[in-house]
Amino acid sequence: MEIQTSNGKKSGRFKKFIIRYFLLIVLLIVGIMFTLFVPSFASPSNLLDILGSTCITGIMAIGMTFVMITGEIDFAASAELSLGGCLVAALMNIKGMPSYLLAVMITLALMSLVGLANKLIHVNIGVPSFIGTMAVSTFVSGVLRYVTNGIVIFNMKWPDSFRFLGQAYVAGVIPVMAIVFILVVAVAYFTTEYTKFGMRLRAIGMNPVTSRHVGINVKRYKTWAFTICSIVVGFAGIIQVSQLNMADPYLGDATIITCLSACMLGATFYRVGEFNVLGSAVAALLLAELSKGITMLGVSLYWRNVVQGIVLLIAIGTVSMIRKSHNG
Amino acid sequence: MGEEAVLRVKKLTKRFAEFTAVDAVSIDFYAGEIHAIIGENGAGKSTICKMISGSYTPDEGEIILNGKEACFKGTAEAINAGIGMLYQERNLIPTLTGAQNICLGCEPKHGLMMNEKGIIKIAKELKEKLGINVPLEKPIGDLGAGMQQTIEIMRALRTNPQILILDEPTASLGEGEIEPFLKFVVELSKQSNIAIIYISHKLEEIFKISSRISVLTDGVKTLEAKTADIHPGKVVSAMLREKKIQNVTVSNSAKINEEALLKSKGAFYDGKNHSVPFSLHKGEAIGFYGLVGSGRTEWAEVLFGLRPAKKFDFIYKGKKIDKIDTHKMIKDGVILTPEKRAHGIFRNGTLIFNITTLFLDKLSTQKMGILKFKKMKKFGEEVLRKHGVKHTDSQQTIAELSGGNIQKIITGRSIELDDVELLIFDEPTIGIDLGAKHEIYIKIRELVESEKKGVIFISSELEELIAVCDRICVFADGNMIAEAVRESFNKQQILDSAIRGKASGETMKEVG
Amino acid sequence: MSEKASISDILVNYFLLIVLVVVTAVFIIAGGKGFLSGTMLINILRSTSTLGVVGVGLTVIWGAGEMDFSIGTECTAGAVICGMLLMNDNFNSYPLAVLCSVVLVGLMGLCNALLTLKLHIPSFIATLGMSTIVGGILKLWTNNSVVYSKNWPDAFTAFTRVSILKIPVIFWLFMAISIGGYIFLEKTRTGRYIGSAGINATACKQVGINVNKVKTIAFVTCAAIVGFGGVMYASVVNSVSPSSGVNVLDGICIVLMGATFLKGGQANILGTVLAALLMAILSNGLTFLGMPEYAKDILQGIIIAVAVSAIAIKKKGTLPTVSFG
Repeated sequence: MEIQTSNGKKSGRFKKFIIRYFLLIVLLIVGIMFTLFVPSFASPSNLLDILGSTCITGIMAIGMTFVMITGEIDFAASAELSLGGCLVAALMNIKGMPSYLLAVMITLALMSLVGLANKLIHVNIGVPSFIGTMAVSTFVSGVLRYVTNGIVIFNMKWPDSFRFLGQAYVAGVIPVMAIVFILVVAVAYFTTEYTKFGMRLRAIGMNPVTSRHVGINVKRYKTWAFTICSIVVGFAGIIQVSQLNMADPYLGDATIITCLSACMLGATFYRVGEFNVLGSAVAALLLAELSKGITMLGVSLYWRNVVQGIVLLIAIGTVSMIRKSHNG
Repeated sequence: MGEEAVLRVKKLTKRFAEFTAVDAVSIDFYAGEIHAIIGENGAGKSTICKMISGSYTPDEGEIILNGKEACFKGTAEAINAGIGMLYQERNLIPTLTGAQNICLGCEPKHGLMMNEKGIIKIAKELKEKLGINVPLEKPIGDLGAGMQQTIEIMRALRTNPQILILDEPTASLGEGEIEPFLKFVVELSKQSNIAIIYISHKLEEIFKISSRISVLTDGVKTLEAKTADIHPGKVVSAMLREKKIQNVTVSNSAKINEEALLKSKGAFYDGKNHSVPFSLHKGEAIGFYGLVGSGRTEWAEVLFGLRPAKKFDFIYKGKKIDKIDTHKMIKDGVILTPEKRAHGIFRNGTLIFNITTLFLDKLSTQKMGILKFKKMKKFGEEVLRKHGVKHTDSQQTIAELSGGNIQKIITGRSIELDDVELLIFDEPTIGIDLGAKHEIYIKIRELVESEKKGVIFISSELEELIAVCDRICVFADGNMIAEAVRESFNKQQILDSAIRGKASGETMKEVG
Repeated sequence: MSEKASISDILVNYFLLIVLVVVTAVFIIAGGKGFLSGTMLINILRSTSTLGVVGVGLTVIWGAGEMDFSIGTECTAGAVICGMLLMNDNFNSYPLAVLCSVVLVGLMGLCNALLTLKLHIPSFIATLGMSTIVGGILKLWTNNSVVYSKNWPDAFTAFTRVSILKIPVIFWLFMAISIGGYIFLEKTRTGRYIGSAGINATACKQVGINVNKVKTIAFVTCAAIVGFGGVMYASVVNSVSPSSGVNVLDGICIVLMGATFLKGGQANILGTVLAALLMAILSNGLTFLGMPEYAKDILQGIIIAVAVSAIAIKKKGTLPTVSFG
């Protein structure tokens, strides 16, 4: 992106830097502002807490990012979140379930079926992803609530391993969730930025026609994207259930907005105008930071929604303006 | 016929970077006349009209409307000044009826609601005035292209323009729709005193309806005359460029002994059968020539797997092709560079990205597909250097480069494909300067002569095909209909064959 | 041209109607006499009305080619503003409260328009953002609780309590709004321009229609209608809360289903009305049969999937789609 300035190259590059890392700068500024009001905000345990609390929405956003990189959207994410959690809980309730790990594996495998449904409707039949995934979402959450009868799944007898992901701490200070989050971000980042698979996904998002011209099988990669999304979001659901020690079929409903916000905000970072893993992760972090800060300020929780909405609009507005000047 | 020209363009010039699309063109248009502008692809016809209609600003020259100089800052101004334009693409509302489309934007009212009867009345009056038969009360989505076009013209006429520009109006019309349409245009010209500017590359039509013809070739007006005073041959000669194509050395081309790389019979796609019978040998460059819409690109897309075909008959490297898949074709050594440059690049991607996306298997580890960035950069820069792409940084966005350099990247990366055997270049030289064009010609000869590849060169510029190819195959209406060999290339006869849709002339061999 | 419609064409076009008839029949058979009782019918009419009004609003903006994800919040706001204003002892006039509600929600629509058209934020994100912001404000205002006051004027529940010809006023209002919406979209110039802008904005620009102005009107109209829908909803439940009103997804679902009716993918009022009726019958019928709420979701998901798939297969490209990012 070329930014013409009268001062020539140097200030052009500086401007570019600011725009590219804007989100990170906002992250820091917001953190500083909160610390001014509540000094304990900057304490290591609090910061780690924030990192941990980003885990669920962050992982969900990363799953969604895979689909958005290819230029599509997965509205079934909230259903996928609930489904993942409820599935693992239900599996653990089965008498003969030998291990938590097995339950997780089976859940993730089943989650890919949702991805398959999404791909069937969009890639094969040709329904726009926004509508198709919405239909799948309604169906899946309906089935889920039907099967669970709308009641939460809870069991005293779940082994400790069930709560490990969501509640345990390493060395007493670092939440396991924080570590898991970082791991998932790392793997996703590596996949999208360092492999030919990721590059092909990006190519499809940039221009599906050109992608076909260079031999990329657009249908196949979109299928992968939807499948990965449903598995990753399902995993986020597993962690959420682990944190709450219960599965609630209604849990996912509110999260789609936060998830989408994170992805959209993420497109203002690192690779401006393109959805990317790092951006979604930082954006999710920012949203979690805002949430925690607002709570610590003792201000009503509902301000969080207001602030989130404003941040989203400012960020997108900025990106849209930039892209407009991009295309001249 | 007017005494004073209602519209005059004087020394109109328009440049795009190094490429001059229109070069000091002066034409006078008179009221009540149909003035045709004819020329090959890229001759500058559309550009001139975009300047008249306000889409482009001329770099030099003037536009004089009704004796006063006009300077339009956009299409809305031009419309208000009385210049109506019918674009090549339709822009109508398919769910509304003809009458409703015609009155779109200024429907008569009955208080708060629209006066539907009034709408029909206005449309009917216009229809009678023009003496055409077009259904006004059916949703136009149900009508054919010809009718839709007529409706859109009627919509343009509603503002009573002085000048009406029709840009390639018959390009999207079917067989039976062209005649009625031409009649309509003639009627229109007689009824009103509008000056009609009719852009086309179709000789017969122009001779049927126009009173004056201007020929544009490479942005320059090479001929202007009253239609009655000249005959088609002269127009055709004026269309052929007296160009300074530097000589491209072509070594003796007797290729029949070489093995056939591709044997094609035809295929069934887009709802009908297409006969494209020819053989391409190793070390041979075949040109595909034809008028716009003759179906060359579509055939290439079928071969390359971008266009679905129900049946096809291709033998590649001795084996019949069972299934066509783009990725597989590339691996087997077939590559196509697209007609529209935009379809060949990732606009917001870097130069390296645009080059390496074709080579991802080779530039990443075998097992996990991990990208080897250093290798990618090296490879990309090598391709950029080898093909003379003018750039500042291999990491810059491809959108910043000029059309010619972008084309070099598209062509260059295709040539660098490992084990590439058959290269199809679709209109590679459009909109780039002579020097860059020449480089492409040299490359093509290199490919066939030293490297014994097979090349299919699709182009609408006959001169370059004649300079570069061993054989030229002519397309018309989606089929290949004639062939010419280098020893006896005859411009006139090739062009004639393309226009008439069948082999015409003793040097042209009938095919299919 | 196709004079004779094939069987599959008819099936696709009338899919919604067919499902409506089938579903009603199934419920009558399964539920017996009770299903056709007065109470049941009135419940169905009420549900249809509140859902339908929101659907009509969404149909207007959808016709303009834009999305409004904030309809849920607009509906809630309509209810909450009306209710909260009337909490004030000095404020006694129901009609005035309703007017204020509609106007304020209309302003929300104006904001949506500004964000989408001036800042070039894709409408679906812009409205999502507005939805979050206003949703938060509503929660703050009501302290995230259900609000009810004995001091509310009787008129508050008038729409639901009062019946004309044995049918609650709320349904007549719905009919009036639907008819009004239909006339607006089909018979007025602005309505036509709204629909045209959604189909081909370039054509509109070519004939001098101010596309931005027309879309702004669509946003505001949608918001105002939906806001009024919130007022209607409040009259049914006689309370307001941040979860009042119609769900966004339900609104989108009925417009989508309605778009499949006769128009092959183009949002239209008649289809929306029928779809609202279908949804109401589904929810109430399922409740009547003792089935849980989410059974409706399952059926809803399937119906949408089948309907839009049929359109996608038959005529590619007429389905509404959103561009984002």
